[in-house]
Amino acid sequence: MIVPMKKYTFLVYHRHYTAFLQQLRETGVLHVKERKDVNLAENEDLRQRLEEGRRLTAVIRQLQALAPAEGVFAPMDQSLDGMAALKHIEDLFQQRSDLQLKQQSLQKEIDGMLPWGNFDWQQIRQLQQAGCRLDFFTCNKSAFKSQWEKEYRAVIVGETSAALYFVTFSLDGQRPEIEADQARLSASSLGELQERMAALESELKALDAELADLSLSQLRSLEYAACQVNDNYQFSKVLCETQHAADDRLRVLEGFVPEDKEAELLALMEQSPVWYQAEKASVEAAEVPIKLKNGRFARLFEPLTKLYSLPNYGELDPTPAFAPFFTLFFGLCLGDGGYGLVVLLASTWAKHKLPQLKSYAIMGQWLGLSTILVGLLTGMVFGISLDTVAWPWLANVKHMFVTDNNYSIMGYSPMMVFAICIGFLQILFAMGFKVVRISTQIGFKYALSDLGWLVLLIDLLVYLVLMLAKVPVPQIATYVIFGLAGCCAVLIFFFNSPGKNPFIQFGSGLWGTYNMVSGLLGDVLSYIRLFALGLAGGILGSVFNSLAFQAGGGLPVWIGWLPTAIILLFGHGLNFFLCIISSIVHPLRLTYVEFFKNCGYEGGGKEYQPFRRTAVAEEPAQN
Amino acid sequence: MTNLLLAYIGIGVMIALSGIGSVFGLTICGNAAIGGLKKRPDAMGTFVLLSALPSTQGIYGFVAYFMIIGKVSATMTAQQAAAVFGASLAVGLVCLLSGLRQGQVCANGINATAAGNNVTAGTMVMAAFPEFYAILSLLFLILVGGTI
Repeated sequence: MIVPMKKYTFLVYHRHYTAFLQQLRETGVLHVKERKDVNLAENEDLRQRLEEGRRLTAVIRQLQALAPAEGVFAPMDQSLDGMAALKHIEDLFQQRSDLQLKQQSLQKEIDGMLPWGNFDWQQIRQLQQAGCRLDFFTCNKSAFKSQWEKEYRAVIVGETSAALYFVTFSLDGQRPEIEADQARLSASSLGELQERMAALESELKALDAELADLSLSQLRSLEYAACQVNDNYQFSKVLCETQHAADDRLRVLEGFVPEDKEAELLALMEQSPVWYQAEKASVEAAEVPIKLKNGRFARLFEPLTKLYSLPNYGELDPTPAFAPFFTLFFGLCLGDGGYGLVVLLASTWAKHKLPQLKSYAIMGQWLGLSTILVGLLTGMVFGISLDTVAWPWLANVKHMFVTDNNYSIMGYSPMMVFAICIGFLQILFAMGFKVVRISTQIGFKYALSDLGWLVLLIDLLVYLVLMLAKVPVPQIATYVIFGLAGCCAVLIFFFNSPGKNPFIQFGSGLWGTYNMVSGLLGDVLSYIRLFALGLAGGILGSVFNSLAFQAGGGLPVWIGWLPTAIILLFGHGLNFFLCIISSIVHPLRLTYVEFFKNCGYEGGGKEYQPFRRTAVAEEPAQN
Repeated sequence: MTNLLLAYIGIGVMIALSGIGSVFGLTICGNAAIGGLKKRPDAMGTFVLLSALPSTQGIYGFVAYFMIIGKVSATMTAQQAAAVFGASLAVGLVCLLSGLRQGQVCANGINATAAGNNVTAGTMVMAAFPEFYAILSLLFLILVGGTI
């Protein structure tokens, strides 16, 4: 359900405006209306505050990564100058980054000098001054010629698996013409480089320790500073959304308040010297924010509606309509009672151990329960088809499982027929939802055509079922069915666009008929995936079972259990992971495309985000 | 024997082509998703949702197998074998191209989402259009199966 909103317009004397906004922020209920003539992206002040917020968030994240696992965070210090602390920490991170770069460069130099060992460049220079030139070369082992040892006085000083490192001595001061690569060496000796590396590492360690200390001492304070920056940004944003009137003496602010929170705002208004006007938000207005309020079950599925798009203010909230179908579809797609049990247990664990994911965990419990029920219905548990196993305790119930072996509907699998039927049912439900939506939004006469389609489809379905079931239909019933179909045809062809020319309506009805026939066929058949996914998952599970027991079957029991267990764990784990993804994605796709299309869902609503202080988290988020 | 061979070749080609179509489609989307994650790691859920859409064509090929396998037997006639072969080939070819093209649509949606545009819903709707013809081919197979 969409919470009804009240539109408020405030008229405030400019000297009282800042204080009024601060009080308004404390109530935290007003969603400020955005002005179309204001481009917030061009406001320099806002951009600066956003940038500050981004920098603080980045530094907080980096500090969280460096915080010691067992450290205790110092309590929040609200007097800390957040921006000064930010600058200091950013400088430290920059130093750290520079040191890491130097470390990488130094390591490359050390790697280049390692094969040559630790020699003194001073001695090399002395030798050169004495007329003996040294050149450093490297080449492949196979490329080294033994005559170089005589010709160029080559001395091998190091080697790896493929390369040789050697030095030549020339008394004529000329570089020898040799088919080898001249080594590029550092101007410092290996020992000096290693000393510099040790000093760098020590400096880095000290820096990391300082950052870890800062993380423990200032993280909470920085989080508070980030909240302050965000609050300042929101405050500046509201100032931008404010209109100026009466030669800049008055401030005009518009916003929306949910009706269930109006009392808090009215309590403030009684104390403020502010003129205001309240009225019901118009259903035609596009800028009315949306706050959803549903029962305990439907509320769990609100994130799925938000993922697509919130309804606009004049629409109906589709969440309670699709939530039960989504739950059932998930169960059909996963289709294995054993996997459902895993989902249920994991969700129950998450509900208690991960409180920040509680609503998702509860949804997981419902989805797991649905899967267990479908698994029991079809007799599929961890890839084992219960209707085919020869277990004595199942003997009396095996025939009840809904499987191809036990049932056949016109030669087709019962679960396939069920998937298509439930899909058709959801489409009919969506069409009914559309009739209610249009009637509520613009009037019942505009919904007549859609009502005609809905009743016609139900009418034809009833007739088809009676024919297929070979139920003798009395003549009068046949007249009623066809008479009703005729009335529906009149609604479809002559009531689809009230107020327009009947010929135009007839043409529009023909076009609608084409769309309905082609669209409905595709939409209904699309639900066949519910059967296919459940079947595929079950078959894969049984294949892994066969492989596992075959692998361990030929071995003695005391060792055979090991490969069996490994294959079962790996196989079912992989199958479970793949099936979970499909079981979420495909029911979601059916909801977003088939259900939303048939119920005429438009969406485009903006989420209700009241002007209020940013709440600081109780505990800092862990790594 | 020849009739049975023809029928099984058709079914094999159908499974192969529809699966290949999904593989190509999923790969195209997966590549786009990895690129998108570099820009917007928080949109992983949306990327997974869009990336998984081209898997449908492989599923349709799988379902089509179940629809048609009941008509395959050692005593089937040449006409029946030809019908199975023709319908299976149709499903395979359509699902191959449908999966490939749907993957391209979804990849564009992923790229647009990574660029900061809210196009998830629109992408899912657009991606349903190439899939519609894969469904039609499945329906064709079901109808043909009903005549043999």
